[in-house]
Amino acid sequence: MTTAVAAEQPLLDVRNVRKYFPVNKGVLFRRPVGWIKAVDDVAFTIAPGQTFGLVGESGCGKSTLAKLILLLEPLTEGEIMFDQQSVAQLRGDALKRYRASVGAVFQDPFSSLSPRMRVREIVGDPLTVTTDTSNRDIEERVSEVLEQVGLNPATASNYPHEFSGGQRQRIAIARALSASPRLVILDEPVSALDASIRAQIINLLKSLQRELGLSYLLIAHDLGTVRFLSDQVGVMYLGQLVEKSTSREVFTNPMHPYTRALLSAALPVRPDVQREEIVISGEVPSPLDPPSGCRFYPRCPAAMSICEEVEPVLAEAEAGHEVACHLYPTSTPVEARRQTSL
Amino acid sequence: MWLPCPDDLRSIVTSHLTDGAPTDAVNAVVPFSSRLEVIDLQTWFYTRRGVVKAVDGVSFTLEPGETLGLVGESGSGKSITCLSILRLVPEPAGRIVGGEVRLGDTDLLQLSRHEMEQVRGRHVSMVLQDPMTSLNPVFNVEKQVGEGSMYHLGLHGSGLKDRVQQLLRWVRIPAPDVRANDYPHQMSGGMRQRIVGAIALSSQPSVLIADEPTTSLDVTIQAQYLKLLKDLQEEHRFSMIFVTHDFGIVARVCDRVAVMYAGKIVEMAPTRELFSAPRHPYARALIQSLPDPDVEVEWLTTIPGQPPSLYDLPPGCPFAPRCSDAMDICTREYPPTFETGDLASAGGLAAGAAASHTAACWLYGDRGK
Repeated sequence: MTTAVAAEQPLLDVRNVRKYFPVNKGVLFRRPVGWIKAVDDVAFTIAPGQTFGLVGESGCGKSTLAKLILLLEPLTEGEIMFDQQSVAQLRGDALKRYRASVGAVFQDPFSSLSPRMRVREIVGDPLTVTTDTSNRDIEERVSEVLEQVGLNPATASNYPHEFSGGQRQRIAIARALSASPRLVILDEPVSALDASIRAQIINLLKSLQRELGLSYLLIAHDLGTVRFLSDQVGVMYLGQLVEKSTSREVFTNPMHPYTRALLSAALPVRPDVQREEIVISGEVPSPLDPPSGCRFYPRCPAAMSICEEVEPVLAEAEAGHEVACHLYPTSTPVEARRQTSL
Repeated sequence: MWLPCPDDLRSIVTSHLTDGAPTDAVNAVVPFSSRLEVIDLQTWFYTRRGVVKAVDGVSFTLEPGETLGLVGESGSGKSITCLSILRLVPEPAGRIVGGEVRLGDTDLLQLSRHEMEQVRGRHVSMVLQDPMTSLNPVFNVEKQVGEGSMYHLGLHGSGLKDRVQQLLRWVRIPAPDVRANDYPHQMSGGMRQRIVGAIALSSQPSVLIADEPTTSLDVTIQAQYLKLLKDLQEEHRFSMIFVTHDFGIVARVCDRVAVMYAGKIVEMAPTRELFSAPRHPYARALIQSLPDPDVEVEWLTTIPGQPPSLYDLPPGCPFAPRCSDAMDICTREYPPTFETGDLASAGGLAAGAAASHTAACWLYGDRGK
């Protein structure tokens, strides 16, 4: 696992991305009465061959972010650069090439595979859609990726129901790989699988990454999986990144109170490992009406008066470790700092 | 008749409602000392493809006030074990074909339908996985929380209303007088699951079965809920069967753990012992395969193969095809359950951990050697 970010150009560069969903009211004349700020000013990069792990609770915007990158939803603001090209501008063949270079694996292999398609069709689908590959070449490629994910190529004419959960997830991974992507988005890739199968799939993902030089965007709530697979980790809360650093930094030196609570709530794997028990009160507020100032302050055990008024900014508090929290002076905007000192 | 008279309980509950605190008088009537004993339970499903032995010879004891974890993968029989205790196995496909479920001195499997209705929710109650499906969307909270108290304690009118408020306070619902009129969709997931908890507690049962109660909750909400369950257990002194597939939860809430595989309990141990010295190769491999957020490793340890289909289990031990320690006898004969406690002392473990540690594996019998 490389801990330092490579100096080369990032493969994916997410720049201050926002996604607001309108909340409409009225029957005939539907008018927006508010906005759900699902993703609100998020920025991060993924270097070639690296994994960025996104952690956060449901509703924090991590899956919306994945949809934005996959171009399944249009951006409200900001820019997503892939290989130094803005993806929003892509049209025609360039768009097809982009779609081929970004694969995705979803959580539930029972709903993500069509029951009416044979494995050959499922795995070959990205090739059919994004390229002009001939049928015979597709067949060859399908056998190749099936072998890569540890399935017998002879099963290509079977239907998904003939496979177990773990095997289905292997099929889903094969589909994500068939068009030779450079980035794969993994949205909770193992949480629907049985415990004795998980480690197999996690290891498979890691070895495929090494073999093929893939970049991963990993969305997961199991912190053990995130620690094992990720180089960089970002922690999201209510549409914003509150902490971002290398995997080792985030897990050994969590700085944001939310990250600390999350690590504490992620129960220890071994009962003899004693962890500081931080149970934060309350629930995630609605993104329709987020609290003013810091979005975490109503639940924060370390909240101060400034937290209610001034929104902290994500800034480097230690070398290579960004955090958005007023506990660290770098997060307080300069004007606000002046005001409070007066 | 071992069932306490509902009339006594009703008067006691109503007379103590004013102070809102759990009443010791109520506790005295409910048989809190009842231990639950499951002996050689067998629940089979008769399907077109054949007989599925979902639960096949499960035995365990739940002491008063204790929390027993039932861990296993999907299809290992942990949920069916719980449903069998309450006699809620979906019929006619599923049938409890053998065994005993003793609560105190009574075998629940011998009770009539009517008698069993007095037990469910009254002495043994259950919290299910998904509060979205276990709550009824067309009734408000008051109606659903009060149902148990109405049926089992015979409460009505303002007495019932007060009882509902009391229950909502127990599970830390803020502003219970307002919230009682809400419908499930007006509440968050964590709040809904606490409502389910209030329903389960409404007749102050002696045994609470929690079947993956936090699976649908977020991690910080899960931590809140687990803490609430532990606090409630301390306040109301019930014993708990906690079904989960998450070893992290086991480590936090359970006193003892039973590990299930293909319908059988393969290992039973005090929680600490299970993690520090797992005996059964399945339990050992499973614990080793967990990615640990505290440690950086190059590769995870994996278990080869996949869980067997219950339709055609291999002869002998169902884990043998995936087991790294498999011997000849494993593929021929299912092992009996061996006491492996002596290994603990040999391994230099604390003598205090003398509680029984058993494993169903030939590694611990003479014939396997």
